[in-house]
Amino acid sequence: MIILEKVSKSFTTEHIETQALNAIDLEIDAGDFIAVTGPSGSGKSTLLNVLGLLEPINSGNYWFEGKNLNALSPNRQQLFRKKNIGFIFQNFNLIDELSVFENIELPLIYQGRERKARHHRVDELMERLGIAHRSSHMPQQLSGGQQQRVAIARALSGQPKIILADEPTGNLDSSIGKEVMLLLRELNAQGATILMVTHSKEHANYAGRLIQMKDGFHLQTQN
Amino acid sequence: MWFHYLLTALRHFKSQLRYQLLNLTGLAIGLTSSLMILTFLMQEISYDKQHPAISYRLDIQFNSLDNSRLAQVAGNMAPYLLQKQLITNALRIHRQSLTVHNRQLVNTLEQVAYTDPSLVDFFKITVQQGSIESVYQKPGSIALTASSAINLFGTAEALQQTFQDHDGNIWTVVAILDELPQETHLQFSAIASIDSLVMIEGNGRLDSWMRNDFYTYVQFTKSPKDSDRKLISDTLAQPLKNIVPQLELEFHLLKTSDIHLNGSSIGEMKFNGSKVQFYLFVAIAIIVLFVALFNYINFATALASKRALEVGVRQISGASKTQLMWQFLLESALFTLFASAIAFLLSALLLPYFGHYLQRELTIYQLLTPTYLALLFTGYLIISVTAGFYPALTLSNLAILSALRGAGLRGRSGRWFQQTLLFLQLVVSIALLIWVGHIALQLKMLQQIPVGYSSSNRLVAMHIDNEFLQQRFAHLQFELKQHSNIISVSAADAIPTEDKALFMQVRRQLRPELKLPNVMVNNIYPDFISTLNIPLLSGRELNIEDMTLTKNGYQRGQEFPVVLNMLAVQALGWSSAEQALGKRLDFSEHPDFSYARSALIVGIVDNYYLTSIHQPMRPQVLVTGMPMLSDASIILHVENDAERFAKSLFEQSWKRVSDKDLPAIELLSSRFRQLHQNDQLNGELTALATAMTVMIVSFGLMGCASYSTQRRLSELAIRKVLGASMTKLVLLLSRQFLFTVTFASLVAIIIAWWLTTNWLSSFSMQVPLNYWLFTMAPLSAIGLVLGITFLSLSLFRQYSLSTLLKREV
Repeated sequence: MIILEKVSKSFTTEHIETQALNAIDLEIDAGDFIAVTGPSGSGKSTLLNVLGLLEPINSGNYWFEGKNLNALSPNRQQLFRKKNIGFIFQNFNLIDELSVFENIELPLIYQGRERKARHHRVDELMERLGIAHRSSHMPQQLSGGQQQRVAIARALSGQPKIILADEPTGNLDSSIGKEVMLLLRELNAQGATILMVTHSKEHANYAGRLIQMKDGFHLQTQN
Repeated sequence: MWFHYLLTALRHFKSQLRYQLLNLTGLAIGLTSSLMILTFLMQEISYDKQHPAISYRLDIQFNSLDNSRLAQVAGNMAPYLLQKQLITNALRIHRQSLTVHNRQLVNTLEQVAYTDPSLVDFFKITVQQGSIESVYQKPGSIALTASSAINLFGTAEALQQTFQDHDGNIWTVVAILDELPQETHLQFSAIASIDSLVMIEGNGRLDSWMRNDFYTYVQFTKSPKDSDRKLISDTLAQPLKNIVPQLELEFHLLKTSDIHLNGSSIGEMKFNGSKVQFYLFVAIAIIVLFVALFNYINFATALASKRALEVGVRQISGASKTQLMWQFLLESALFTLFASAIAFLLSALLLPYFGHYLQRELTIYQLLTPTYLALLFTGYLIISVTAGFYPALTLSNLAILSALRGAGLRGRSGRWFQQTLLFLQLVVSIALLIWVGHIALQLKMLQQIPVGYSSSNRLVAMHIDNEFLQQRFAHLQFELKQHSNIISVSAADAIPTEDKALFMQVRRQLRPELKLPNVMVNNIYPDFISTLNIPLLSGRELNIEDMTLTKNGYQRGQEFPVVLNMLAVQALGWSSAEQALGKRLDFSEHPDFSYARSALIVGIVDNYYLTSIHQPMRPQVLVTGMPMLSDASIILHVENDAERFAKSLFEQSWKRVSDKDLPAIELLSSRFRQLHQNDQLNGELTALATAMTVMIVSFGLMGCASYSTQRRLSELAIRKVLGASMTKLVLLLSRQFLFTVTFASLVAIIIAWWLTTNWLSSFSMQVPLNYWLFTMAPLSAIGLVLGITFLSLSLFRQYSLSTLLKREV
């Protein structure tokens, strides 16, 4: 589904160039659950941002279902992201002023879906993730685990082809972290393609494939 | 989607309620003031727009003496212009009072307008009953306004009623008119025809070239060019120059719809508006609106920085830049709508008071016309977009990753923008403070200028039939002087503060080349000079014997006594009061000094202001026993704090000597204040606008400062742990504002200097520039910044250091 060919990304700050990704090659198939690990500064987050079209690449090619994404204009990239990519963050990134229901509904609104269809989809997701009873609550009223479930539901709501998760358990204690990992594995079993960046070896073990990174290089892949 | 935007906007408003309310208050105050001023301005420009055709009023200006410009010209002018075919239509209006004998009652109809039948071609007059045409069919026909009809006949049917005037002429009421609207320069209580004027006083006034007592309006087929105006002026001046070759004068055409704002000639029908005030109001409205808008933009941008994360989340959820832009513009529109609604309600409540203050009737209903509503809606859209554009643009252009990190609007350009807006607001406020300070000082000085007479403890009773007063003055004076509270009693055709005058020609008998064409002559009653405490420089004042002498001898050509003021003495070539005393003058109604009478100078008084202190003092001749105007006014000098008692004494005495209605009694000092109410009003309103501007800017500063504190809470906590004192923290937080306020002060001082010197130059007497104000205004702004920053630190004190260091706020 996704192929990265010799993708490089560097940042220049005050005359110092940092090579965040160094000619990375990577293939992701539909239904994969991949965990990316590595020490701080190894390029994990940059890889995720590149895949999520949040950062442009310096060289190489990014193919998504046969389409070369780095050739697209920023506007087209935004449209592509809207349809195909979902995000989950370490700090959940829910909008404080919107309820659980409204947060999950947000991507559907921007996709221009009908109100009825939106409601149907959000109800279904809340049911599936066990947060239906929290529908009208505001994010501040939820526990960390519940907030992450809402974030996951929001990532799923637009029916993206891939979910990119950046340290989804980083802000959760271990038991709740485990719960979230089980949920992601379950979603993967139901067909979702997931790429997750994590520091935790234990949580990385929930994935089907493990990618280790160091200094912008892709060290090894374990299945 | 729109519903979602609306919901988000409302929730955001709620979540930052304190800041949003501060911001809302600032914008609402700005909009309310602008809306109220706009209502007033719209009314000011609507004067005399309702009439059937465009017309012009003919004014005469005498250049020979002191450029005095009169609102009325002689009765012969209009027919002459028609005869020369320089105009297509003309209308003359002469106003004078009419004594009404109705059964046993005697009333006075003030300001009856004697007009040509062309009145309806010029002005819109609404008739309730009867017809206006009947006024012109037969002399002695009169149309009354509804209130005059009630005054004369009470609730009884007034139409077709008859009454007699003082000379026994029979008058018939042939029409009842609506009251004149507020938006006209016209003022009268009844309409009669010129033929009726001839019926009561003959043709003398109408056939004159020299008696300027007809408001004369003219119409043209197309608007007159400069050459047409000159031709009219020259044509009208010629017959006058044939009579007096050395006369220098010109005629002006003033568009009727411009009279309200531009008419400031002697003898205007009513107290007109002022162009200076109009432009002052325009400036105030613009300044307050802009300061409020800048404030809103600055505040909204500061508040928006907290929404960076939300923007990031929306972007990864699929929002495009356009959608984000729309969302934030809609929020601005909604916010402006709230502020506008508050402003509309506040205006509805405050407009009557504001109107009362400006002596106009102002209501919110004046805003509810389709044109006005369309204008307001356009204004609303412009304000919403102007106010919301910058925050919306900045937010929608945030890079996703920095937005998700909550980096927000901490970029350099954003800060520059905010600082620039704050800078502009501060410049305006500081400059206004300095300027308003000077306005206050100047007004205070003007109030203390010696006017040449005493106005305190003086009561005046106005519009008293002069003929009656000539007969009964001695009796009335005797009656009143019986009371110990009344120090002295006098009267005059024109008392100080009254804008009416008669002009005559005066020359020295022994040196006839030294003359005063068109000098103001005032007929006074005995004790006038002492009653008003006008300094007598030489000789004596006019007494009751002088009055009798002149009354009996004037027609027979006998010499009569006069008193001159110093300006007249100097204009006639004498260098001191003593030199002039005992000299003789030729005195005539005619510019060629035909039928001249001999006058003896028996006294010289110091100059005094005849009306407001804006009108220069003029040469003046005081006579007695020679009533020149139909009305006169009585003046009483009473003991301290005895005004009310003296008023009732006057009422009792009046009833004993007269069967006429009791005249209205006023304080001379309040009439003087009324003359300067525009100065007073302009000063007060500018001060009010400044107070509002300073208040709005303070709100803005308060918001920005507390927001900046909120954002820097953890930094402040770290500094505190490392040993920074509270004073250091205040200085740290205010540093960003202090630079702006200092720079703004420098610019404001230059602007204020220019503004103040320019404004002061329009006065003949000026206060010097006050350097204390130039220093204090910027210092207060700096103090305000420090104070507000200190207050904003209360946010910091709310939390414990450990909470702040964990960044859990």
